[in-house]
Amino acid sequence: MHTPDDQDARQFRQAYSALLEDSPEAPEFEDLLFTVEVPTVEAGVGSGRRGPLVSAVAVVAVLVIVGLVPALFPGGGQVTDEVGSVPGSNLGVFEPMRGQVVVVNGDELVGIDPADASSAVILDIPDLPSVPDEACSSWSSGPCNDGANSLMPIGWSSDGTVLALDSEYAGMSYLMDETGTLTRIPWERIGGGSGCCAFAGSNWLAPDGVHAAVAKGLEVAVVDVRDMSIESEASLDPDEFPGVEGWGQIYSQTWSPDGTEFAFVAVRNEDGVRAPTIHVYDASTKTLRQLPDRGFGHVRNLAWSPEGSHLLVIAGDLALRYNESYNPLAHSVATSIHLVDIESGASRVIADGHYVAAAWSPDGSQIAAVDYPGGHYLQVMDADGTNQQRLTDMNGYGYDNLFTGVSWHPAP
Amino acid sequence: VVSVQPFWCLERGLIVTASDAQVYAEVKDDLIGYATVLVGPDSAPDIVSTVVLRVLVRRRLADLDDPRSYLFRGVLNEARTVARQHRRLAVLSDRESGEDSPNLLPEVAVAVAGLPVQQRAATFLVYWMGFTIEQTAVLMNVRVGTVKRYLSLAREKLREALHAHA
Repeated sequence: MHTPDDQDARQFRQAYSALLEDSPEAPEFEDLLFTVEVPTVEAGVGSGRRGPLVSAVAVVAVLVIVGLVPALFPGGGQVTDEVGSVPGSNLGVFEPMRGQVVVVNGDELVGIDPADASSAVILDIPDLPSVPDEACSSWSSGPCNDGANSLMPIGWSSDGTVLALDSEYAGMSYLMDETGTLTRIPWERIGGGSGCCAFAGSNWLAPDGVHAAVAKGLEVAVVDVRDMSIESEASLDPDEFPGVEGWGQIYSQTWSPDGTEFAFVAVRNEDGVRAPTIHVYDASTKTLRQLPDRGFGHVRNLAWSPEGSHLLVIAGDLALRYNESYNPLAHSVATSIHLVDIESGASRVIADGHYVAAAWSPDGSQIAAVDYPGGHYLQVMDADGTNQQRLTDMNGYGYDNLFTGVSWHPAP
Repeated sequence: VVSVQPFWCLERGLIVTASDAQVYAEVKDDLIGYATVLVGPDSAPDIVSTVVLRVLVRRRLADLDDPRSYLFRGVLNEARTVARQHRRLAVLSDRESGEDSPNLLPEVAVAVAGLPVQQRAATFLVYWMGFTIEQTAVLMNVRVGTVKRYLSLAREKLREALHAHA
């Protein structure tokens, strides 16, 4: 042990000695477990509660944190020189993210050049807005605003000025715009939700940056997030989905590039086993159609290709029990990346691994994916799965906050 | 009103083992002390609970290669979040007079209370817990040079405080 014994060190020790006199008892292990008892909550669909859209206007500093990036990316190299918004650009604070593969590390957005992972740009995420009590369906005794440590980048508006983020732990969703403003999406107003805990990414943000694909029970809807008004909705046939309750049996939405449709995963209860199928909702005609059932054990992530003809589907053979209280998706699970033709439903596997999330490059020629064979690795590959390259090792961070989030800034 | 259990709540179920409890028992006192120094006694239990639970929903404590380091990093990350929310931490508010700690100069208490979380973490790990700078870098998940910078900045602030009150 190394204990410097100079005057400064002694002063610090005296201060900490005094502080530790007030140190409380650590919670007992059994008490920790008690805090995650599954709560029973009211369905609350359509409560009609109205409140101000919470927003936090925070100055977003584009920072270069020389010390952190090499720690995050042990195989990586240098951070770029100081970066910032480009005058006259409509991308605002996102200008440095142009064309970058974007992940979250703690309270920072990290933009990685897919052609040169030795550099990275860092953008501070503003402090998260406070969360009103009515928005908290807390699964623990902790605050339902769980900080930036668990944010996942879900997707961008087509012009690259709005980024959607979900928080894995608290189940909150946010929009960050080009001014650096972070706004919480008040899902509680419509009794629906997105965000946490399915261990599956869901790109709910429409290309226009103001509409969202929402699931609540068996219903899917298009919501204008500016006032949370429902503009289009439809319901899956309850006879086909008996016993579906609560949120989360419809998830992993992804919008068509023209913003007229979104695809999603719906889960049937087949003899106690979750049976996922992929559906497409046409918001203009309010019609639903199901793609051919490929027999996936589980589906983790969908991403609609930029040219509109294919869905990228991350799925695996592992079948999950319908109401199992233990989610194997919290751990490394074998999955493949499937390319599914939207019209015919024909699919083919383009990559095998332990993938948890993926995003298309703006031109549709490449795919960025997070592989989780035990640690987290960011990969890029061609759209047919060839030329796989590991961009960076994303391990080493205290939280496993990267397991469902990767996005690719749409501006070239 | 239909009472339902949201899917994502069910997904929060845990499987833990006796070995997880044993691992926690071995590190809990260090964790609570670390959290107390970083955010104060009121928030420390919540931070420890939050961090440990976040690990448990994903993996077993006993499966971690180095549970202490992993959890220390988690406590620091969570403390940063709490510090952001509260900005001005009053962890030494009732100690600032130094009345209860005759060896503690009030200006030292104030200076330490005003340190950013990461500088406080670095000084606590090195000067109180006795970790080397290299070990501290691992615990904080930063580079060795960053730890040195935190220590230098913290010492500089301490000296400024002492000088101002000289």
